[in-house]
Amino acid sequence: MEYIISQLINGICQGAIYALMAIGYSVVVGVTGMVTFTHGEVMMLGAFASYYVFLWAGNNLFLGIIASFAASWIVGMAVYKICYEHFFNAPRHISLICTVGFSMLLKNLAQILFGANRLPMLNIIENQVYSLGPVKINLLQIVILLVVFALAAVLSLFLNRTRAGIALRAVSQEKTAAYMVGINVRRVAMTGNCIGCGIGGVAGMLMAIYYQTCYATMGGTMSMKAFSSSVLGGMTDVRLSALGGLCIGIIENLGITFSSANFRDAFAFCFLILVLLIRPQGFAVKKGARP
Amino acid sequence: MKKLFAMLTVIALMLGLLAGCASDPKPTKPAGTQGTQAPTGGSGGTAGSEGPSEDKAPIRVGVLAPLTGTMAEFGKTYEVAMSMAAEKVNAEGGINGHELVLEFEDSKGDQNQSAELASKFADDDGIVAILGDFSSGCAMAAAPICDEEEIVLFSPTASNAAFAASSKWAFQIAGLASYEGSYAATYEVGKYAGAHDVAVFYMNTDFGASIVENFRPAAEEAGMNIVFCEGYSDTETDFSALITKAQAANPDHVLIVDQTSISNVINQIRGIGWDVPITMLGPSTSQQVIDLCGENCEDILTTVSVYYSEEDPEAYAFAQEFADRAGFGATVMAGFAYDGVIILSEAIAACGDNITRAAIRDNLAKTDGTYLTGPIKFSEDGDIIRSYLICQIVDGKYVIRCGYDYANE
Amino acid sequence: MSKIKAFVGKHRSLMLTAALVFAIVFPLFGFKKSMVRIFCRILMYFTLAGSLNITNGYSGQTSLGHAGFYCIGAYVMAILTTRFQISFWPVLLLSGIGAAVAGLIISVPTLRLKGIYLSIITLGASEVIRIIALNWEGVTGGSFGIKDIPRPTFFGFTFDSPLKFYYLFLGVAVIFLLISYRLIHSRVGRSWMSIRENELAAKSLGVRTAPAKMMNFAYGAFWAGIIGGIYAVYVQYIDSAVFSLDEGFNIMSMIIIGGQGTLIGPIVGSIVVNGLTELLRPIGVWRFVMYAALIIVMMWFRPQGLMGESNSILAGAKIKMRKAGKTGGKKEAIS
Repeated sequence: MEYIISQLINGICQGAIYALMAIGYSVVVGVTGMVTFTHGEVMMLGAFASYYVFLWAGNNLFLGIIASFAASWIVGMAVYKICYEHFFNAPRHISLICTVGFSMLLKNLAQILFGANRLPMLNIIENQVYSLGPVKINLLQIVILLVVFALAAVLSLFLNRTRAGIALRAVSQEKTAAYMVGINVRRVAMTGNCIGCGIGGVAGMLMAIYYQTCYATMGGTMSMKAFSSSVLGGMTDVRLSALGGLCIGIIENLGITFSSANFRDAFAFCFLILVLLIRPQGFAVKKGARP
Repeated sequence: MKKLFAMLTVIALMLGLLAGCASDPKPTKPAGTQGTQAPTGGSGGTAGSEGPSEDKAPIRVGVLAPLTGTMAEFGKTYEVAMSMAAEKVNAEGGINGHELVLEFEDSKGDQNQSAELASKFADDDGIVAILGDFSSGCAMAAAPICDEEEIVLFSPTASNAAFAASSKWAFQIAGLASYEGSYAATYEVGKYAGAHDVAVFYMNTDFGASIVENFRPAAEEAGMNIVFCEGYSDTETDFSALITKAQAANPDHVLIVDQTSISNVINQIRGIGWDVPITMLGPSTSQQVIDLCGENCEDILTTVSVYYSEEDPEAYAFAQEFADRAGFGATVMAGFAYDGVIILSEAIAACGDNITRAAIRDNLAKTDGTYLTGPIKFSEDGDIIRSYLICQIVDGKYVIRCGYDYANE
Repeated sequence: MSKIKAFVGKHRSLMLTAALVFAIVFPLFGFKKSMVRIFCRILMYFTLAGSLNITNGYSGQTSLGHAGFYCIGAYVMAILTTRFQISFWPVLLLSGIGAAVAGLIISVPTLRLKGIYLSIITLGASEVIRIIALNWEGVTGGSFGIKDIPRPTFFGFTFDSPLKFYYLFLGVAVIFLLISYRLIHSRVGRSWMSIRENELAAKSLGVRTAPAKMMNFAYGAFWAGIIGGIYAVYVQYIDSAVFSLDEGFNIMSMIIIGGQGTLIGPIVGSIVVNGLTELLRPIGVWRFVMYAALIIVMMWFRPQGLMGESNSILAGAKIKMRKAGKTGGKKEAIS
């Protein structure tokens, strides 16, 4: 029993990392209405930005967050200009292939600029292990869980209660109507995309700290998980996407517990397929922009 | 109009492709020019003052390496280590006065590309032999072509026992993973560490799987229980579930068979406060593990076939220079790549003036000597069995615990 | 320009015959083996991309998981020819059928789903297939892969050189084109296209969309399986790493660059993608940066692909964007 509980905790922590990525992802997809495959690379660049800041300014977490957020924001602007803005009227697969191309470009460029080897990110947050009865959890896992909950709460508040947030949601749901009521659709979409990317950058930083290393191809498999999580959450809703990430994390770890780690991705995808069979829109109930 | 433009684009590309083929570097280069056609600029080009004489045509060797893609780190290792070796050969007068030129091609770690590039090298009469590819999978994909075209395919790093055995033109010097697995079981984990219940984490690639395949029977023979043995995909990053699972099996020793994410496993094992003794294997052994794990990797045991110790000035200088050039520490792979070039150039030199692909193969098979990474003598199949040191990480440095002859003691 | 078009239109069969004769004859002009291998790759990817084009281009279901079907075909071939020594030709058919069955199974959940939900299911399925191939050690050889896959023979004639494989690939490509051409211009093909243009309208006009979609998936998968089977005997060594998601994206980028919903599009896409990656070799590590940049540029200037059909919904971008460009500046509404 203790064993199952600790595996559940592992699953939740792993899921929290997916959730962290999925939150940024669903903001991007929600606002632009386009699917992105660049998110993994945006996270990777955020992680590298914080790596260089840590190298230069010591282990200052606050500076790291700012740097990764800013770097990813700028990348987000480029992604928006190159992959979305031009293609709002075009079929979806065109911007999709553009994001695939852009992700390839960023990945290879990063490999040339930052080198192909793994870089250490040791002891940015002092590691401490807490025991709650039989269950062990370390400080980083707690931090990531807290960040996920805080981000989901803050973003929900922002999207539902503030003027800018409501504008974002309006653009997310119906671009023409948003334009008609006087929203500058292009600017709002760009800002929304950049916010999503910025959050992705911070997620990348936390991921790099959590796994204590950062490298140019770290985004690859992870962005697929972010994608699956946010599909599970219905693509556009921040809280549900976070929930989707948690679910995938738990399912994967339970699968590993009873079977083998070789099948990790298979568990995630089979679960996703099953859920989509029963609920074709994922967990979501309301209608939003669904690419 | 646009369609016309499109057609023109395609036609231009086709022509470009054909022209690109036609303008392949000619095997016979005008005498006196020295330089490289290596597109990545990584070849050991310039000859020193007492270098090879300039009126002899250079000897060109093709190298398949994953210079881009997820294995780019190892491609870089290849590029740096092999260039160093080629510079050394050329500085010492080249191969019988001929300059040695390495031509790097990027296989991206993709088997199809590796096979096609091998074919491209084989077509070029000026290429006398092929080094590479890095991974066993790519080397295996290129092997049928080299077998057919009768050109040496010499992979310094492939460890799959089926590779060299698959063709008489294929050679490998990384030491068979099969033997390393049983050595680790009998001597490292068993005799030295004295473990009883072992947990094994392995990367599910041909390297990891063949180590485990041989570790298991040897460990059982040595009286150990394998209480946990699980693979994971090579893109895995989070090991917490596996670690908890292993912990529940209550082992007194952990063996990690990995190449790329070894630091992740170690960090995560220590991260949950589990201080079980850990053993890792040769390919993981490098300064990089220490950089990436910090104090988490204290006391970890490892087998190495190559040790860049300060007592061995040549090896030590090599490791230092490699680290300077590559920007990261040398693994055993670097030493293998370096030796690959040296061994091949000696085999070519042994051909005298009559350099043919078949003569190189025969001379390569006769290789018998001691190199940077130890003594090398090929078996019938073209592979070798290495002897290993057991090292331990103490205060951020590798310390030798048992010598090469520990197995015979 | 219009004259050229009219000429091509009038003498279509003549042009096609000329192209075919050219394809048959030109590799005989003393190309190096490595060059012939590149031609083989182009033809192989042409059929592979063409089969994906059946799903993505003709019925408008964006499938990202074509590598999975390709994988099944290759493994069926490898396992049956090495383990059971069954000869190449019947197994080739089995490769196709195996992949088609997988396509049928995958198409069932996709009947309820649209757009990106469908894409992620195909993507997931492809990844699951690869993971099974990697881990089912007893059958697929696991991470060791399968080696020594025997060369096919045809009445004592062995396919043992790239040139012979070139003609095998060419033959398959031509058969694929002929069958697909007939199919697309039949009732079935028209129902696929009606689903692509407007599924609801198609339904109301009496097109039975569910069987049409299933058949579409199965047909596309069948050819991917056939190519997988030939690929296995061509390279003689397969392991699961080849059939990754990247490969799926690679195939997809070919049809998008070439133009979806046209038979000629995939061959153009295959030439461009394979040609570019080869041609850019001299710039070394910058190769893929450049390649990615070129793909983006191409999408900007010809979003419907180099050979895209202008009267399809897939080319909507062109029409709408041109309109937007004419009527207004930056503040044009985005619909």
